[in-house]
Amino acid sequence: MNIVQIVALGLLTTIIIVLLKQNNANTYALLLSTTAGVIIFVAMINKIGYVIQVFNDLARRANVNQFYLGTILKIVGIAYIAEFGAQVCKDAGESSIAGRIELAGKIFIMVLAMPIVAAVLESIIRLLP
Amino acid sequence: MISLSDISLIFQIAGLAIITTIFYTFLKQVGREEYGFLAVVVAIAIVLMQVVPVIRDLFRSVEEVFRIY
Repeated sequence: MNIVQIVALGLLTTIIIVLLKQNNANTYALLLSTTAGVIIFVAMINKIGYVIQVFNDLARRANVNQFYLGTILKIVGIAYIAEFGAQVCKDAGESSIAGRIELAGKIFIMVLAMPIVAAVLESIIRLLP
Repeated sequence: MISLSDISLIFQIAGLAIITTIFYTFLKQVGREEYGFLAVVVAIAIVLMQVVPVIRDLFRSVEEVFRIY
């Protein structure tokens, strides 16, 4: 699975989408671009899994608290899915819906980050005389 | 690995799209625009039935990798 296949798939889909958009079949163009995006990401998922595996091992060796790493992973995942949805909506021209999706993603991420912020503040207060 | 089934999915959707578009424009000439629109809706339903499972797999694999439950 090398980069050449991914680029070829992307170019091929783009060409077909231009063809479809020409005789105004926009719904199919959107469906096709979403499908291509999904296929490319699903093809990369095990690479990302490997990188996360290495991060986990390093964190365990450096005995970083597992909770923090888990939260960071969740935040990255939520950010990715929200960005994916927002990008598809923007392609279709619905930037207002894209904005709503991004807002929801930010709120989810803030909710996840709250425990960490609390822990940081606690440690700062403990340092103060 | 980009399997062959993914690439054939893209070609399937493209083929269906082109056929229905041509069918729609043909029916518009004949004057049966509503039947053409019906054909387009049916084709989009077929394409959605194929695309939605792929998107569900994406979200499931993202949840699994990033452990969002």
